[in-house]
Amino acid sequence: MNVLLNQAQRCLVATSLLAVAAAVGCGAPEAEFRLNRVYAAVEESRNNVTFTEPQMQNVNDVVTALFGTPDSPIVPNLPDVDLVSVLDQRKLDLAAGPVHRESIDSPTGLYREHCVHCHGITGDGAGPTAAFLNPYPRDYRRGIFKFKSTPNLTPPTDDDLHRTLFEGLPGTSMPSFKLLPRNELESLVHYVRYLAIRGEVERQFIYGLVTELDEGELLIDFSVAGEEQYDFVRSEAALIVQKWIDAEAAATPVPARPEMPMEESIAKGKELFFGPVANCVKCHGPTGIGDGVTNDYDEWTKELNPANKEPLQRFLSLGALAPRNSRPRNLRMDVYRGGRRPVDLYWRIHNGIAGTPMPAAAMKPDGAPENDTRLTPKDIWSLIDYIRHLPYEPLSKPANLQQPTNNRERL
Amino acid sequence: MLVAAALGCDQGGIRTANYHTSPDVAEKLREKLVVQSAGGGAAAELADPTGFATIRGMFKISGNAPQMARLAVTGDDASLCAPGGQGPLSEEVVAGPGGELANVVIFLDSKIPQEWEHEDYAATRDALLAGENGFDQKQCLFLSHVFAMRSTQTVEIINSDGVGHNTNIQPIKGAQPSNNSLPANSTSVYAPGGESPAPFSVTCSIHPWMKAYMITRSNPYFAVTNKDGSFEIKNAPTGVPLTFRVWQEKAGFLQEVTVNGAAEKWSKGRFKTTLNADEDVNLDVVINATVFE
Repeated sequence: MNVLLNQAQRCLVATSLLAVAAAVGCGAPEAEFRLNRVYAAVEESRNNVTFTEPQMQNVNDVVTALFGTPDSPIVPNLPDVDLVSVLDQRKLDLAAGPVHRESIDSPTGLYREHCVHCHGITGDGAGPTAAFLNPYPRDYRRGIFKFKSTPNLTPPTDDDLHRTLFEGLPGTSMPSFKLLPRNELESLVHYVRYLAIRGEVERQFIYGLVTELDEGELLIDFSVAGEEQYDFVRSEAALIVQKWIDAEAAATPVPARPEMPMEESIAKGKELFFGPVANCVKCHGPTGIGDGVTNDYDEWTKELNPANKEPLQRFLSLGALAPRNSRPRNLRMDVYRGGRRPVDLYWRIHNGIAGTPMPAAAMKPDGAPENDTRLTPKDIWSLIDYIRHLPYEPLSKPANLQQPTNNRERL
Repeated sequence: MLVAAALGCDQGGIRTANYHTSPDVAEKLREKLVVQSAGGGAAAELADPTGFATIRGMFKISGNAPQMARLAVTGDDASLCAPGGQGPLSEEVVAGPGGELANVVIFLDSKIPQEWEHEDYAATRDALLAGENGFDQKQCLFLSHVFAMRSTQTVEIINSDGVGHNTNIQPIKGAQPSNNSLPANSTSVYAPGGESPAPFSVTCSIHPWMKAYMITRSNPYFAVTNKDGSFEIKNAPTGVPLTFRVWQEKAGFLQEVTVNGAAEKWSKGRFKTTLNADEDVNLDVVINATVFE
């Protein structure tokens, strides 16, 4: 508090008018990305090691060299990687920097205008409002996004991110940005991807301190000759970027719903929901209200190892948000965060939801024998029909007709 | 004054300190990263191995091995997962009566060319690890608590339980992540497709107490200690400098150790050695129980 008052006093001397001082912000310091100290502490705790201050500073320096600052983001210059499709400098420039408009249609600072209060300058999902929201805003820095068309932990496509901005995420605090012009949405998509890639690269550098480097060794040390240290930094960054480039062609194809009578399909879906193969009942519960397994965590929280209180206190003091359990969705609300179109539900069931306990469905491989009980695309469509029917099914008649058989099988 | 402070005279003061990078430092690093020095990538000429040797040994704890807690079994599979109401014991530290330490991973950290691998390993390169060599789970426990494989291999993920599991494989780097539903009494396959520099966790979301570790290595020179603390790495290349790394779940990379009676400090679990042809190297490693506290 002393610091604040002192600065305020200095500020007053400089301007002599309180109102003016407040209005002009006293020359607020340039925005800065924050080093992912929580993850560094996680790796320290996991491996019983301590990173040195020069190592932390060095990671910050190298990440800044590659990606620039919130006011001047740069697209990393990587040999042999054409990354304009995922990181376009002109689009980043529209989204970055302080909020400003030369005219109505030439904005800059879009990220700080629309996103920063929840997702934070660094994209750590810990903006000023984050602690008050449930679910918490996404921390982009793992590069994991939940609602997308690609297989489980493949990054989202451009369309996926665009859809999330355009539609919002129903049932969460993420609103729709439908009213923004297309070019503004596009630049925000690039900027979110920029923060994700930047965060992932930073994590890999910190992980590299454990796995690749010796105690106290720096990622890049000018006093050490040799190209290897630069190669390491470039190749770590290139690996991450390449993953995002490749994701663009990785959307899971969705076959059309086969012709089948709706009632029959719903009955089949119900059987699968309670059956041992799809096993939805385990987490979503016998009435579908999401009261099955409720004591697991998502991947963002799991690495904080919430059961172990002592390290957790340290993570919290470094800015991690208090852990919450991952809750299976209540399927009777008719609210689907990742979109309510059948194709959205197909992707959720087929691919699982990245970063959450929801696994990808056990699909029957091509050429599997006839009696293989794993799921076919047709089964997924029946599950979708059942799930879409669930909100209209009376809760007082839980759909547990298959239960006795299942219990026997489980035992 | 308070108003002025609250309105942003200082945006950083009330949070934990951040690291600052000056534009000059960033620019200097950027130049170094962009400009590739000519000829810098040429690797030093590697001497060829002179032959092959075997490393074997034993890991033990000195002092009292920590007591492992019983895991809390929740959910409606309790009759299967916690027979008699007793949940399984945590396997963070598994030690025998004489302190014999199981589930320690010892692996070759050095990158070696494929030609250095002994011919006996050729068949393992693309093998499918199935059946009793697979990755099995029974009574809601992973049967291999620490599982090591070659990154080019494929492993059968087996569910020997009459209840469904899901196998949430979460490498931090190198290997492919995967989280697939695994119906009762079924199998699926996992191909890591890349090398992980360290072990990573495997969990089950339906039974959140279930936890195991995997490590995937491109070369065949790795071992996980058995219940009696022993391990063996056969036919490692000799006459060339090698770096091995040693990891244990609770302790992380092992650092303070006693090797064949002499105290050693392994920097982040690493030790360097150059083996002699046809030598049998024995490593008796003792770890003080305090590292598990």
